[in-house]
Amino acid sequence: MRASTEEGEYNDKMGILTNPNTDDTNRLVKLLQGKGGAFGLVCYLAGIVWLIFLANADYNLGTYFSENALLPGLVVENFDGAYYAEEFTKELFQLDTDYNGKIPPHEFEAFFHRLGLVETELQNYTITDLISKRKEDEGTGTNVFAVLRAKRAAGTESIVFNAPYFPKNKQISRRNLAGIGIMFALADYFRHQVYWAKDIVFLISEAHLGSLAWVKGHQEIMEDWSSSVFRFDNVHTKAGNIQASVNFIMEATDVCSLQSKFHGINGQLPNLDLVNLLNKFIVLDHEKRPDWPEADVKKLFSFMQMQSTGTPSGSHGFFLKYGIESVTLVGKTSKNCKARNPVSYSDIGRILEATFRSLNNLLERLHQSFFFYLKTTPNRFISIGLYFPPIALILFPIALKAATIWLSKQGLNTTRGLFTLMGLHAHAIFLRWVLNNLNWILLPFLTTAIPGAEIRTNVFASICGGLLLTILSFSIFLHWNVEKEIREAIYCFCLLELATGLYCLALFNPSLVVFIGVVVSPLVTFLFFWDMPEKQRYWAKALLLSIFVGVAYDWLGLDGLIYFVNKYYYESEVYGNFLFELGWIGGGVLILGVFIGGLI
Amino acid sequence: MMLQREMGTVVGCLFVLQLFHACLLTVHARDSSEVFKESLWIRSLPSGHVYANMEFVLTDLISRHDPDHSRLFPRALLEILNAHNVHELHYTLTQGYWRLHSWGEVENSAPTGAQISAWFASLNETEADNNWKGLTSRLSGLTCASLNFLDKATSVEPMYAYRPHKNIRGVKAPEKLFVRVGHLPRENYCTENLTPWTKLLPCGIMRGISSLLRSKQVFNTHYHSAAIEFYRLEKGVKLKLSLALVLDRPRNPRPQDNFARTVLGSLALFPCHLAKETNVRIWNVTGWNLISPEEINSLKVMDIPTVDVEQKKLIFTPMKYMGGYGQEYGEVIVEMTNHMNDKFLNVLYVEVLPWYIRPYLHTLRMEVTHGGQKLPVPSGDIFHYTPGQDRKLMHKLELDVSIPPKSTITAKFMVEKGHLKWDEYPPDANHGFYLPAARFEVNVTNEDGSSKSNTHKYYSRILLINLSTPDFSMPYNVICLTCTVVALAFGPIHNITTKRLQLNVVVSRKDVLKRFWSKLSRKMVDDDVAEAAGSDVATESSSPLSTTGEPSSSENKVG
Repeated sequence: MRASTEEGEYNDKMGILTNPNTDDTNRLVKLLQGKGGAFGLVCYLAGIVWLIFLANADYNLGTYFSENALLPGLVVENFDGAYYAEEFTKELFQLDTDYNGKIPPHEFEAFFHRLGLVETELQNYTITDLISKRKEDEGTGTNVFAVLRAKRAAGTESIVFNAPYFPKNKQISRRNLAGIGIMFALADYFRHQVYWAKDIVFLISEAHLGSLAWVKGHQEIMEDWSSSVFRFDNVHTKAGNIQASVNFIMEATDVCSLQSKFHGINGQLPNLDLVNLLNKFIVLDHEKRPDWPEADVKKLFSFMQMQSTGTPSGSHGFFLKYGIESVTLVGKTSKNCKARNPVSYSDIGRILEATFRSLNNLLERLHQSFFFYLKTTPNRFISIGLYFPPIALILFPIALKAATIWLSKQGLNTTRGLFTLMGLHAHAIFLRWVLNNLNWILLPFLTTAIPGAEIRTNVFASICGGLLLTILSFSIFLHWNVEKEIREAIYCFCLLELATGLYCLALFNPSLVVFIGVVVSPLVTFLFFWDMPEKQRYWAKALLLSIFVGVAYDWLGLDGLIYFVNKYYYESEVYGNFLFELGWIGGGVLILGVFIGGLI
Repeated sequence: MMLQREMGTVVGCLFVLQLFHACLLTVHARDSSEVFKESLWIRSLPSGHVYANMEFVLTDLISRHDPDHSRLFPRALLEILNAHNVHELHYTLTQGYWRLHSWGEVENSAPTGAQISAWFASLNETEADNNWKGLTSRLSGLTCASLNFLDKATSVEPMYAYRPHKNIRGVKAPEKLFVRVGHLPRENYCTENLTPWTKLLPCGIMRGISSLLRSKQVFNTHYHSAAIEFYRLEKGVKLKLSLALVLDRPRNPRPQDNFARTVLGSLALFPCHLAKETNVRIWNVTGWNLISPEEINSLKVMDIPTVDVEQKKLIFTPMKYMGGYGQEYGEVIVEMTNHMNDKFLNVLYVEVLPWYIRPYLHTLRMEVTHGGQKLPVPSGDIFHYTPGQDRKLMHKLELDVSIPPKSTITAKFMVEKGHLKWDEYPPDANHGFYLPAARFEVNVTNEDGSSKSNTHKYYSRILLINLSTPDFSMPYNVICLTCTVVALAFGPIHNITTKRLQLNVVVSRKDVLKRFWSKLSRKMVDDDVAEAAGSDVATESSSPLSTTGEPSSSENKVG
């Protein structure tokens, strides 16, 4: 009896809950309309504050090793070839002057042969100027590498030791000759050790681009030689499955501090274990203390700035795409370094030896530790579990606004709204194509019209033309008299897409999303949508938008804009750095959509 | 008295021994057709290493070889081979890879890991599969290698490659000869594999050429490969055991450095009297130089002439690798290079892929390059492909190409990397998966296509590739979490569902009589003091859950 009465009550309650005619939704809508903006603002600010707090050592995590097979610090480093390293460096400096600043690759090969590494190969690459695409503007380079085969292994696994050579650098001390010298000394030392379980590839890549050519030539097959702007030979001496790569650069002959670099293309990061491994060897004990909090925030900011651009911070960035965990060890110099007790070559050699021996111990690929993290100091990190909630909070107002519109406006014209949105997207894609191709379509005309003008200025002119076209076409949208229902639908869908897109992007590149979110989130939600008479609101928004554009322009400047456009055009063509562009341009298109929807 | 008894025992023993010896002699006399020859080849490699190849050949050229009686043949092996009607068997267990570019031409080519191929007589396909499974399982026991993993799903039946010896014994009508090949690329060569292999030798490891073997040194080589070959010929049987080693040569040998001690790490060669011949040969740039077995004991490292780099005359080099990035697709690229100046090479290329690497055959492209120029692709006679089935059959491709002199043929095709079930991953799942080596059967041909020499066999490197691998720590976390949640939830839920709340009367202590009465009658007598308590009524009487053993029913009182 009792059970049946309970069931009856239950059903009644369910009926109340699911009844669409109840006032509950209206109450929620009223709450959202009344307090939604304030709540969104609180979320936004809380997200930013939370993120800043994460930089503090009290709120983030200390680094640790997840992969026990690395056994860092357990090996006793025996490298004693500092004298040879210095001799090799001297010899390389002599060669560099003999050959007028560019040591030919066969000299490097001769070095390897002298060290007893017979399995060597040269690899050429060519990069055509992206804009002119002329034969005269081609740059070429040659990589040299040698493979040290592990005694008992069947050549299935390997580690890459890369010391890039920068012959184009004007200062001889910055051509990384010291780095190559230390690598030769280590190659000599490594060859006589019996413990190697993985092959070691000693690579002298010509500039950072050489590393890209090498890894592409080793992991991919060049299909069509004629069409590409970046052409390279295939690497024939294969080194099996590359487990990790360590890049090494000495910024001067005498260095005073060592640094690890690890930012890859599109903000991709290597496994944290590898970064920790190198940091463990290079960070001295007294440096392990967390600094004052402001410095940590600055460090976090610079990390995020670096990651958000999507530009790799060195040769290591090119390896990550192929699943090869990679870091760069950089020897940094400073004023009066020579007087201030520089780091000895034997210490540097031992750090590298320890790194390689630890990597040699690996049984599996580096997979245990984090791939998504932010770092402040070498011994602290912010894992994805820590940084994602504040990012979600920063973006939350966008989703909240979309929900408010969806719930409050009955009878949105969804079909026509969606079609308009699709039109907007198609338009954006078309314009992107125009921007990408306008320069070389217009280039011949411009060079004839303004003879003697620099190519890049012409390119900029054509890009400006493309941008003008964009703004014109969008202003047609702006003056288009659309019905209120459609506008609201566009507004709602744009916000939804923006929120979804940014949340997805945050999985790949959190830093980029933080910067986009901090700008875009207030822009599309509360900044423009306070209560104001229609006409005043329109002018206020126009004013704000122009201020925003003005500030952005002022910050970048004309040169900055040219630089940015060239840089990203180049990077997306040569090694596929596209997330930065996608994030900002996609965000921009959707902001315009929001304006079309909510502004008019 | 005691002495006499002891003497008697000794005499008796001697008599028994003599009898035994006499028996042995008769067996010896009857079965004298079994011949055992052992030989050792020593050669310097162009890279400066020393190559040592030991061969132990047992032949019995009587057509009706009695399997139950053998003097020298290892009975353990023969029984297996007879039980499965094996007519030809090749088994190799190899550590390392023969580096053609540094070491020159290979003599007995073997792929890294364990490989076994056999021709055997069976009635039909099903019986052949069973026969093969039985053979690999039993050989697995004999060799201590994981050959038992080779069954129908992990082996292939080649159509054109792995042809049998030309004098192999035929079979009678209802039976047919079947061939099966299996390769385990991940198999390591350890002492546990070397010991059973040496036990197959008539003299074991203590005598004969094998007395030069020291396991410490065998496993300190750049390459070592043990092989068992067996042929059931028209006339008799032949068994060949061989071991190839690539050893380090001291960088600056002193004149007094003994070869056996410094390079092989052994004391000396002790003669094996069962061997009809014991040959030791040393390569002296122009030819093989035969020395007597005793001489090896006094052989110096300096006595082995070094070979120039120009001496390595390469015929053919294969290269196989996986291109591309990501865990969804890849491209298998095979480069076959003809190093001959004027001869064509006819190559039968055999590719076997596990089921989870699915080749897209329509993407197969061939390309011939000759010093940077592209040549037209010559068409071959053989193109045989059997697609695999998930978890049942491997993919197999056999095709032949003719490589012009000094040219390279590149064959490439796209593959899809499949997804495995979580329990199909090997231990150390993130290490990756090994792909078997490709096999190349090479015939040197003239312009008119006529071939005169023997078929050379080559193997590519094995490949280590990465498939998408789940985070195996995650299931562990989930299991831990679920167990905790279930454990925490089980107690209260079980209590609530199996017990009923019931009012129990607690009578004041003083009223002894009332308490006594209530105990007797179990009736509510008075509304004195009442409290709720969990009673075991339901648990004892009706609930089927009571058998699961609720541990703390009396402690979990509600109230």
